[in-house]
Amino acid sequence: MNQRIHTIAMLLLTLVIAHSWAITVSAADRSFAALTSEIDRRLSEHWQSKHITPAKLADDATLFKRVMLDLTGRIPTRSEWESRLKGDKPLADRWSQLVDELLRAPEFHLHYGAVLEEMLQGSAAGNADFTDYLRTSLRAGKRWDALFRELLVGPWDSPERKAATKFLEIRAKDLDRLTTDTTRVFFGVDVSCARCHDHPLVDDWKQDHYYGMASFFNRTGGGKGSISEKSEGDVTFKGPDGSQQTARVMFLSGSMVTDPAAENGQKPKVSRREQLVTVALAEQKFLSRSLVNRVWQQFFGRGLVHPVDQMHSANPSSVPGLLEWLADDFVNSGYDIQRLIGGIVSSRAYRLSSHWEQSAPLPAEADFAVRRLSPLSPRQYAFSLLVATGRASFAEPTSTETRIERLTGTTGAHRIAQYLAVEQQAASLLPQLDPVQDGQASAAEALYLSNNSGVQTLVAADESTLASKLAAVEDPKQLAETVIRAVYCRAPRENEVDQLAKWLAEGNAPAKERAEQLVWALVTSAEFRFRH
Amino acid sequence: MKSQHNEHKQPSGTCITHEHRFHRRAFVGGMLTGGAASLTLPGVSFAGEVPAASSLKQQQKRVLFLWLAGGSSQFEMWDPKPGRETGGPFRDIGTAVSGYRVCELMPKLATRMNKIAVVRSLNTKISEHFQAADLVSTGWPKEPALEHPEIGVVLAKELALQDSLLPDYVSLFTTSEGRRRPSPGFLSRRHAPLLLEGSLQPSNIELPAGLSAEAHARREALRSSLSQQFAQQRAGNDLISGYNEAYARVRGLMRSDELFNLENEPTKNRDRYGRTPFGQHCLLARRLLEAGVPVVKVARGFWDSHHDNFESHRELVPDFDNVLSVLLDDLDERGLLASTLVIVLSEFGRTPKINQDVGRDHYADAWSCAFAGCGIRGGAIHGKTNEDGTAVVEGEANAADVAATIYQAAGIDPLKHYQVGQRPVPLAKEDAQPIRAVLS
Repeated sequence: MNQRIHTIAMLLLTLVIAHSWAITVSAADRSFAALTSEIDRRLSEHWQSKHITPAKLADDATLFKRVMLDLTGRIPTRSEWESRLKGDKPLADRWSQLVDELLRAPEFHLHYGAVLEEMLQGSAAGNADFTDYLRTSLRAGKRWDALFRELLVGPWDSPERKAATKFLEIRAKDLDRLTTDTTRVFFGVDVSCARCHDHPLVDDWKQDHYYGMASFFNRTGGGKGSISEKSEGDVTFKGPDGSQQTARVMFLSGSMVTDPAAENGQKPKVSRREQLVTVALAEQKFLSRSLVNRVWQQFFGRGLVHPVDQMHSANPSSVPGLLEWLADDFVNSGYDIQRLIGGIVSSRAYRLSSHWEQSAPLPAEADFAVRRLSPLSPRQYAFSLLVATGRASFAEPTSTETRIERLTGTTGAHRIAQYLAVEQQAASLLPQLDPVQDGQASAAEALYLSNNSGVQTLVAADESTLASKLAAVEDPKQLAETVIRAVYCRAPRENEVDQLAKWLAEGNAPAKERAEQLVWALVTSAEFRFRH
Repeated sequence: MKSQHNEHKQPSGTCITHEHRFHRRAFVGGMLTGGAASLTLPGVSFAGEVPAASSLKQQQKRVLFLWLAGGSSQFEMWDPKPGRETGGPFRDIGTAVSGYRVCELMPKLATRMNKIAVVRSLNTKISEHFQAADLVSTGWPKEPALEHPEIGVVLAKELALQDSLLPDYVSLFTTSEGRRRPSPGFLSRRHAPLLLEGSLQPSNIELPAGLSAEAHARREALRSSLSQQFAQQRAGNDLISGYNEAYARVRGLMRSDELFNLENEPTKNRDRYGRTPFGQHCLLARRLLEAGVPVVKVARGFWDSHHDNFESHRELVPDFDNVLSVLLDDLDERGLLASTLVIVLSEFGRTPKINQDVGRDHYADAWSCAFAGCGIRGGAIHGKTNEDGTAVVEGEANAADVAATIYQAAGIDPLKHYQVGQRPVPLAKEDAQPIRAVLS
């Protein structure tokens, strides 16, 4: 235990030191109102053109839970949602202030850093140093263009920035993977089908594109903590006519890169990766559209272009012009991810209800006219399980702790410590939960949650968990109300209180066990498992 | 969905399904009365459910994939080229099929070739592991906007029995297959296989300590009814149906724990299959198939012989020879071979050229696969490669053709369509040709 606290404290110190000289971004830079109104305008035009009446807005409790899950990666605690929803002003009137506050909070950087790591690393995600690098970068207000550059060419001159090599490092030994992943992740394009021949289904992508992109990486080597780049070597491949060809160094747009001419018989040293970064930043389009589309997908469960690595001329954005506009705005804002997110989560589309009560047929997913249910990510589900069952603490700092933060200049340190403690607890749950991209539930997860002893321990009525609090409540209706408030983060409805009270009355198990079973049923129910 | 899988030579009507279900319960019940340890879910009686007529179990179609992960060598198995520069050190031997010879490492299978059909003329073109495995295991080239399901997943969906207590698909894979798991693609994950990765016993199928079966069921009933209420009028509530179905399977899977326990198998049988991982995995596969699991995949790794190809095949092939021989005999003795399609497949074969490390590299231009059992004409040898095995000279077949052959043999129309959004997607690619010569 002491050991763990010590580790957390050390990590904290690193995080705090790393951002103590961070650039403070003024509120004006973060204004996302213009962004929001443009999203709203374009979507309502789109709905009109398709004769769609969108769903009504979701209620305040649903919205608060939704935005907490998306920006902090967990459900709100009971005291958080109860105090937020108090007051006579509807949440809509306080929305931009709330979003702004959440985006500045340490939990956003912690959570979204992990989201970015998963986006970058896919199934290889989970490296603490790399995740912390992304977290401190977000906290410091580092922009996407700067991150892109640091990930591909460095400089990797300080211990914090050294971790940025991880993107290349895990792929350095496999040119195909390095080429394919970089192109998919940063530019939203999958050229791997054009490796053996021109892409059979997408006219845009020829073999030249695949080998052109590979040429930016074939001189890169290393792994295990170091990245190197040779100054010689070209990619050769078998062309459509079977002849051996030397690849031209070519970006997706068709832009060619040529090595500078020799001076005094000496070839100047050039980094092909540096050349890629230069051309991608100069052209902007691929880098910006891909990131905007991926961020959109994170918040809506689907990209404007879908799938997110299939951006090409035959697969346009489902809402005409919106992605292009957002991408241009993203570039003009200086690649500000927080601003982009603020604009997206403030849009009307983001705040729509998942109820479809109209007699009109359900609109297509790509129309974004009603909120679609989507499963929580393993991270969101695990963190929320720990919050709901009372295993995680996100209590406000005590007055002494607040003073310590003030005096040491470590504002937010308390919350960071809490977050890292929960992250450690969540680690064992993560691999057991269904990944989002599958979209469908597996019997394996159901078996795990139904029968695994660790899950039984999670819902157990010991210490000061939710179940132990419930076990002390005698009145079944009060008990039902308490569990709904803690797990579903909303006020209970009368019929469901009756339903739960009836269920409680019918059982003959001791109070403690009954409470555990009740908590289990709610945290595995659809309202808790899905984002809605 | 249900009515579709009975299109082949089976009496029509839904009673089949019902009786099959009956049979499976009977099987589990039979083990119980046979003295095996008691089942984990008390309060459920199997009394009176005595095994039904064995003819019923023979009608249900089943499929077993033996996936030789990494790429086995056709030269050291089905298509030897002794005496040629590409042939390697092994001799060939005659088989039960006159004129057909196999590598000397397969003496047992040689005597059973009248039960096996071989295709020696595969040209699948892709020779990188992951892409090739995707191609061969789905029968489709990779498509950007559409992820095709693995053939096993399609079969699990097509051959599944309604209300089954058992999984529709069990996949056992060794570490060499690594992170690759059979993909449900555009089909629902509910058809995805139950995976046995670290152990032969599925995880989490026992009742948790301190919870009675009754409380377990009551808790689940509440979870399910809350979830159904929540799903009312929700956009995307099909996800919740799938979610609830996953939970609905828990109870049935918990009942199958004895099925996965090889200790329940007589020592004689365990020895017969050989105490190798592959042997024991195949014995488990036979247990599952017999109990009514419609699709089983056993992956066997370490075939990727870039170094010392002949040493590694000298070890791997005799094990394979023994296990497949015993498996075919066993299925036959139990009256299951005629209704069970057995497929031996890899992502590709190996190069004719023997490299400087005495290995063979990846080769997709000319290689072999084999079939036996349901829908297969035993003894059929299809296609030919040239003298050095560098190219197909007769009867060329591609990955889509293999997929179509599998569907056809299992009694499923390869051109049957799934509707995916606006697009009708046939099970096997439109231009696929089932390899008629190996079909009965």
